[in-house]
Amino acid sequence: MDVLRPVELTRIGEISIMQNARLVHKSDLNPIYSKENLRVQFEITGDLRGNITCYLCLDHHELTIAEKNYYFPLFIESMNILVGRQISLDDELNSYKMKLYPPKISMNPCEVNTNLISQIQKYNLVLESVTFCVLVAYSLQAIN
Amino acid sequence: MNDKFNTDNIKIVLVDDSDFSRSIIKKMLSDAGFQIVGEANSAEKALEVIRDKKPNIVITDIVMPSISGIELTEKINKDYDNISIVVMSSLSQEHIVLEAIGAGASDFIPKPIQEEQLIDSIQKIARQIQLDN
Repeated sequence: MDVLRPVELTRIGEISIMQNARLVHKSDLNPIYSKENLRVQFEITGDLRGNITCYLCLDHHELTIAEKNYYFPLFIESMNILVGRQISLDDELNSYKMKLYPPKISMNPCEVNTNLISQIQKYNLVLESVTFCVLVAYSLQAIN
Repeated sequence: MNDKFNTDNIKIVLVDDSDFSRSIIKKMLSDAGFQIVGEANSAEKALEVIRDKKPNIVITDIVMPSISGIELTEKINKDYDNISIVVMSSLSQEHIVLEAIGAGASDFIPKPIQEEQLIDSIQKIARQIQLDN
């Protein structure tokens, strides 16, 4: 049986997703409570296993359908890039064999309280006219 | 570099399960004068499009539902000897890059895609295709 240890992925300071869209790490410790959000979850199997759940917090945003049609796919692609980069840039995890599955997307908002999640990172998804808070919760284990 | 060549006879198929990602890459390639003759959001669909459109170049993501981009690369290489494949992914671990190249990819491009890197890669492959013809 594999011996497993909990793993948190490397924080990435900033990633340029595309022209005029950046993902910027937030180091503040202020708790965040979100009730309105879009959620994507990545499953990972192999030497590193578990899941990563990413929330696009929409609590203080009134979005039109056209805006949702642009921001939601951008968020999902941003999370794909973040997770892939976090795994690839971590020297310790670099040699691990794993399979990353395409994300499962949930449009049903759920309550998220950063005080209640042990491994969480906060990012801002910064666009030209708007900034969204993004929460990334890790539930990952790696074989020793 | 003012190294002009004809992009009209280079046919590209783009494979990515993200519509958003495909639209970004498609714009980069179109702006550089390349024609995207087909798109697919899965490897299964890509094989149909490739059969139909007979492209010179396939650009594929790795992480996709069901069949991965690396498996797709292997299948294309097995069935066609005149299609160059460029693999892209946000996962850029050394063993994944080697796996992609081992499966027959001509190049690997990490995500987020940098326009210059993508166009450089496709131009190099396109030049080689034109030399071979």
